[in-house]
Amino acid sequence: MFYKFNNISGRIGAASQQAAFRPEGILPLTQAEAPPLIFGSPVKPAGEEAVAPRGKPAMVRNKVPEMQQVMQRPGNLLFVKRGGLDAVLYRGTMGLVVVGVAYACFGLFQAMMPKKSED
Amino acid sequence: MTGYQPHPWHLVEPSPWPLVGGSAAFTLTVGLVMWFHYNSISLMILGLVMIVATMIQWWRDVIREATFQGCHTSYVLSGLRRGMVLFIVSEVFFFLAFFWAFFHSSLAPTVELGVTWPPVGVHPLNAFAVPLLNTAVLLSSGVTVTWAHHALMEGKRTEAIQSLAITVMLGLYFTGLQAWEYYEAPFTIADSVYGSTFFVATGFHGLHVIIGSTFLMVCLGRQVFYHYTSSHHFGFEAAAWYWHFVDVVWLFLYVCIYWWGS
Amino acid sequence: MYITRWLFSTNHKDIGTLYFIFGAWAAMVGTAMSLLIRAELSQPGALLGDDHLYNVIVTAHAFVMIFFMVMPIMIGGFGNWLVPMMIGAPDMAFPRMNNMSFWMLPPSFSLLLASSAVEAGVGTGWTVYPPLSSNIAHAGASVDLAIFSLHLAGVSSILGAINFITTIHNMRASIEWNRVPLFVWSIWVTAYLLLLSLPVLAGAITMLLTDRNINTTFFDPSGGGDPILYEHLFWFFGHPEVYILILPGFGIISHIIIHYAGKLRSFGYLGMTWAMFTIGLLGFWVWAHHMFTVGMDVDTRSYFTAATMVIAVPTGIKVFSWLATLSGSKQLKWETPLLWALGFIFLFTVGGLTGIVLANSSLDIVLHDTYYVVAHFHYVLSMGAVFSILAGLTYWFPLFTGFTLQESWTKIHFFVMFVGVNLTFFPQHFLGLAGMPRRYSDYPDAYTIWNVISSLGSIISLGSVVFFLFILWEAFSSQRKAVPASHASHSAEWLMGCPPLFHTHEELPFISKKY
Repeated sequence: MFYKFNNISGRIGAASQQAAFRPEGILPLTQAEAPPLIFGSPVKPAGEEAVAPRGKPAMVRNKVPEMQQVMQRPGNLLFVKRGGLDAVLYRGTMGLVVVGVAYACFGLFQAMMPKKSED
Repeated sequence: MTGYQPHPWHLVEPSPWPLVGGSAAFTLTVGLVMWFHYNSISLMILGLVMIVATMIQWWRDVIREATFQGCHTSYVLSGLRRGMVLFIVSEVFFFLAFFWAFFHSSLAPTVELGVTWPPVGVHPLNAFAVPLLNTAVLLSSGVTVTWAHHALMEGKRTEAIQSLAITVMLGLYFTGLQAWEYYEAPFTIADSVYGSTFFVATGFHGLHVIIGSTFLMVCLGRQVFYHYTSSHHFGFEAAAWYWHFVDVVWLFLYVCIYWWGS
Repeated sequence: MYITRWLFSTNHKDIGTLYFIFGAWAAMVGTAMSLLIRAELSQPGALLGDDHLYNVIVTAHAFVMIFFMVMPIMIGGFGNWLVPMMIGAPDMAFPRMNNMSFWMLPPSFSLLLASSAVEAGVGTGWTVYPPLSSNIAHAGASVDLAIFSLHLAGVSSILGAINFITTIHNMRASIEWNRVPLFVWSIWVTAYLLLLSLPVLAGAITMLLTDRNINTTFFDPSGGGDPILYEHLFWFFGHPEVYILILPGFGIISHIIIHYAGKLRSFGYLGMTWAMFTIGLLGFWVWAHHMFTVGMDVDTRSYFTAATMVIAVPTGIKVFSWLATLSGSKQLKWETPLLWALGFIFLFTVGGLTGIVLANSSLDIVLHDTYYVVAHFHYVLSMGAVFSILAGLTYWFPLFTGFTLQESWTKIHFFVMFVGVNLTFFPQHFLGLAGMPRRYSDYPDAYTIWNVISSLGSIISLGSVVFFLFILWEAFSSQRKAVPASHASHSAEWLMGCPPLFHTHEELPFISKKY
């Protein structure tokens, strides 16, 4: 439901969304024709030539397409997309955060509490 | 990654790394204070580990978005380009502070320095020995990184790997030479404001060389693992820009501090 | 789910809300400290019983208000909420980095509070000048903690600046540069100031850190260094910083004035934008007017005097353009945001005029480090920046929350606050002209009367702050739904409902060529 101040009656009344938000009304748009799509020059993967450089078998296998499959699956958030190892790393890092922040707070707390000298 | 998206931007998924990064910064800074005042380095090391863990996993996620999910449209890339340029601009202003300190101290040397620059008793390094070699090394690495860029754009995999590897090696060679110079230097960071400006300015530059070399090494790895295409390799471009920035800072350091300053 | 939404956020509205909450909390801390300061000065003689502690409170008050109240609320809160919605972008350019900008602040704030509590605390003032801040006068960890606090706040702001500039350059739906809303322009200029000035501060405090801890002598004459170098570096950052604090406020005020004047755009839109660019640019070339008493030669001082006075021109353009926008409007609605905006224009102008007085190096020799300076920068900050924050809060509250504030109460709040701050700070002009210096915990009896009045004003302001908290609580518990039509506006942020959906502009808007 949208509202508009009526200048004649001095009351707030119902209005369409467009009239409510732009007191001056929305100007009609001229329908422009979509420009033709421009595709870039054909992309050369920087590995194509070298999957088998000079006839020899490639030393490193191109795993990008597989990874693209894995990463584009719906499901987990990005930082744990691969499951196992990601989760371990994430939890380990969060553990470090807890330890680090607690240790730092403890250190600051100690620094704030002056020790009375024994003598 | 499924479905229709009526805009070209990349709405990033929720991520723990900013929070982890903030906590890491907290741990590291408190750790540094503990090191300075309570002679304990354990918290500082923990902070460094946390920072490294944040960087690895954050950028791992960026690679996932870019190479594996295809989120980096040309519009997103143009934003990343601007972002990197702005970051380098802010770095330039960081170095401005140290050059300001250098010229403030050297243009009107005080009585305590003997009203001369370099100060009385300080024997500066010979600008035409190792520092000149370092200049040549960094300039050459600027050439090889451009070679790598052209090889990438033309889809020449082997050549890109080779030239990038040479760039990384030149970067490491520079770091080694600097380390040796530091070791050999006849003055220390505590030897008047000469030593202070020299070691802090060249030290921060050295730190940036190490960061830049690491960045290039990651790019080398990504190239080996087929991440880059001839038209889509912004990670490499950013590393190359950063490397050129480090290179230019060195030229200023060389001309001002090593050459004019001696 | 709550953890993912609020701790791992990549949404500009949620992050903006986090900034608002953080800034409000810091505001309470800073207000408490200001009350302690006024309590100490409410009569001659000691109250806290420790002069250094007084200086620690003054220092922390300044840091908290600048880095943890004004900047997070204006740039982090309003900027994050409004910039993407105003330019038709679905979010910021780097949403994850946006969250890191926020999550640097709680650690930074913790370090700052800790710096006041270890050893004797940081009693240097926010400028942290050596040799007072060196390890002879401030041994121990306190100043180092403050330096690291500034480092983290700086990282936060630099990342935020990169984010805002990139967003505004890259993600304007189809808005031409000469149609970008004034608030977006103000954030744009602010972001450039942050980007170029903060790294210099980072360098300066890094050198201070090495001077304190690893035997360098950048600022120590015994090794050929110079404390004046620190002052140059600090104020090369510090002067742009004061514009950083006020420029987003200019943007907020412009929007409110345009809205309540019932107009579609500001009088002199181009003049308004170019005035902000000019202020930003000139802000980098006037830093030494903070150091007129360090012994610079007369030529240098006359340059910095002249350059500083030039800034009055673009500032005047802004003030007169606001007035011109208001003039001729037939149906001014005297709602609370308009009251704040008018209060802003009046009191900011007062602060600006005392600024022109202080710009003269010959006068500044007398007035440097007196309460005249304190009065000047509180007129432009606690009546300029804070009034614009309150103007923005009361104006956009329905947008951010979907609820409305109690109108008559917010008006009462405005008038109480208006009386309180003026009563607090206007007498300080007299104290300054009479020679009362800053950053002392006591004063001769001759200064008693105006100090008593000033402290009285601070109690009134405190009352208004508490009342505002009550108004906020009342709005959230009564939950009066906002009616969007009452805010039909010239600006795009209102087009998506109150409150807007989690993601807005998912389908990019198209702006017609005709206006």
